[in-house]
Amino acid sequence: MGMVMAVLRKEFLEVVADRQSFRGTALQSLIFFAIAGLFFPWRSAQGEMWSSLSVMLTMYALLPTVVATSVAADAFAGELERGTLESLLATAVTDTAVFWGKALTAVSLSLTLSLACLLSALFITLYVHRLPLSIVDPIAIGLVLLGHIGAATCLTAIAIYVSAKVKVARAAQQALSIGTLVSIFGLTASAPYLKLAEWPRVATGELLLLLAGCAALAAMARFFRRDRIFEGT
Amino acid sequence: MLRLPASGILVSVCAAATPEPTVHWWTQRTPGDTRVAQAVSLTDIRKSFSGRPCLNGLSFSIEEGEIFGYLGANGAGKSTTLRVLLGLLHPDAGTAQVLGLNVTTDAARIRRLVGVELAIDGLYGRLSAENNLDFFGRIAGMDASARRRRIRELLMACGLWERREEKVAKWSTGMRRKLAMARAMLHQPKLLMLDEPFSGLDPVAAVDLREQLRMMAAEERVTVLLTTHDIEHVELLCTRTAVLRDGVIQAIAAPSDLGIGDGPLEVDATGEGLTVQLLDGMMATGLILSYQTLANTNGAKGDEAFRLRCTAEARSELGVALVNGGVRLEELTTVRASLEQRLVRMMRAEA
Repeated sequence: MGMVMAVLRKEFLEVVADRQSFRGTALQSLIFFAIAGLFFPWRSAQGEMWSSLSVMLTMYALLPTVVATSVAADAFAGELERGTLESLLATAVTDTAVFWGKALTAVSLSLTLSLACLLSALFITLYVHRLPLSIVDPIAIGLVLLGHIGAATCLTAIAIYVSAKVKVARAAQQALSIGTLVSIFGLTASAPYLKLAEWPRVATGELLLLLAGCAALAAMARFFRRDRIFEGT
Repeated sequence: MLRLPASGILVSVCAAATPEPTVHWWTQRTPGDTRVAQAVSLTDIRKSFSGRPCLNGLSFSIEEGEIFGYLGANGAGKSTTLRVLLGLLHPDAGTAQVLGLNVTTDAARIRRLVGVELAIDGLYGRLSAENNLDFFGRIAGMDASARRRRIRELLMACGLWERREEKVAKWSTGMRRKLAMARAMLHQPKLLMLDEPFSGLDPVAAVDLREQLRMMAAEERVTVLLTTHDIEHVELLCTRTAVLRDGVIQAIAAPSDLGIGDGPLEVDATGEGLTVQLLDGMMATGLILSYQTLANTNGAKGDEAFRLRCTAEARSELGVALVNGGVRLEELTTVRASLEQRLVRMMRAEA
C-alpha cells in the first residue's frame, strides 16, 4: 500500500508541477467547471437541472471522465517518451503499485472535478437562486457519483491498456478523447431508449458499469508485467 | 564535488547497535572471510527480438567487490544484458543470477538490492531534486527520517543541496547525472549497475566519482557493473573488462591485458644497416607484414628506424633474422597498442 501511495503522490506532484501539462489539464478542467459548475446551474434558476436525471448524469458523471482518460493515457506512454519508465521499473516498485498508483490518480482527479462541479451547482442553487434544499434530490447525487466512478474506472482501464501499448502519449490521448466523447454522446443520445429517468434502472446499470470497470482494472493489474513493456523496445 | 557517502551514518548507526559481524545473507559470509562470492553470474544467456538474436550464449561472472567494465559498440547488447539482469526482460534461454538470486524468479528482490543508473538518467524533470530522491526513497521502503537524512547527505555530497527545490528539467546534463548517481546510491545497494555514469560530468566530478566507486568496492565490497565508452575510466577503474560484440563476449581480462596477443604486433627496430631492401626481402618471405619509416630520435647517427608489423609467431624470429641480414641492432621493442586501439580492433573483429 505504501508503494501505491508513493506512486500516487508522485503522479499528483507531476500533474501539478508541470506547467505545460497542468495548463492543459487545468484549462480543460476550468472550461468544464465553468460550464457544468457555474453556467449550467446559474441558468437553471428554478432548479430544473436537479429534476432531469439524464442531464445530471451526462454533465456530472460522464463528461468529467475525459480528465481520467487524458491522465491515464499518459500513464505509460508519457513515461516512456520522457525516458523515466525504465528507471522507475528498475527499482523495487512492484508492478501492482505502478498500475494501481496510476489508475487511482486518473480516477481520483476526475472524481475531484465531478465533485467540485456538483458542489458548485449546489452552492449556486441554494445561495444564488435561494431555492430550498428539498429541491436537490440526494438519490440523483448518489447516482451521479456512482455513475462517475463506474464510468471512470472503465475508461481508465481502457486508457491504461492503450497507454501501455502505444509509444506516444499524444496519440493515446487523442484516440481516447475522441473515443470517450463518442461514447458519452452515444449514451446520452440513447438515454430515452435506456429509460434513464427511472433511477432503479439507472442504479442497476451503474453498478454493472462499476463492476465491469473494477473487473477490467483488476484483470489488467493481474496481467500487467514490466517485461512486456520492454519486449521489442 | 561528487563524494557520495555510500553507507555513511546509517551503517555507522547499525554497526553501533549490533556488535556482531554482519553476515551477508546472499553469501552467508562474514567480513574477513576471503572466499570470493559471485555478485553476477550468467550462463549461456540468449535473447532475441523478432527472431533477431541480440544475446548469443552470454556467459561471464563478476565477483563481489569487483569493478567490472562492460564494453561494446552501440547495439552490441549491453543494455539488453542489464535489462535481463534487472528482470526487465526474460532471457529466451540460459540462467542468470544476481547476488545469488535468479533473475527470472527473484527479480523483485534483486531490484531491491541493486542501484541503477541508466544511460538516460530517468529523472522526473517536472519534480524537484528533493522530490525525485524522496519518491525513489519511498519506493525503496526507507522510513521518513532515514530518507530525509540520506537525501540531505547525498545532495550535500553532490553539491546540489542548495538547489534541491529546483525542477530537474532546468538542470545541466552533468547536474542531472550527479543526481541520478545519488538516486542509484540512495538505498545503499550491494550492486551498482551504471550505464555511462561519466557522460556529462566535468573532470573534477568524474575523478571524484571514480574515487568514490573505488572506495565503495574496496571498503564496502560493493560490486560495480559499468558500461562506458570512456576508455580512460575503464583503464583507471576496472579490475576486469568484458568486450561484447553482436551479443557475444569477445574477451574478458584486466584492462591492461585485454586484446594483448590478438592480431599483428608492431615492433620498433633501430640499427645500422636496416634498409628498405632488407625489409622488402623479409616481407617477401612473410616474416613481416609491412613496415614504415620512423624518425630516428634515440639511435646513434647512421642508424635507421622502422616500425614493423609482424605476427606474434614471427616476433621471436625477428631479431635473429635482422642480425643475420647484417643489421647492427640498437633497439627492437614491441609497441604496446593502447587499450583504445585494442578495443577498436576487437569491436571491429580485425583480429
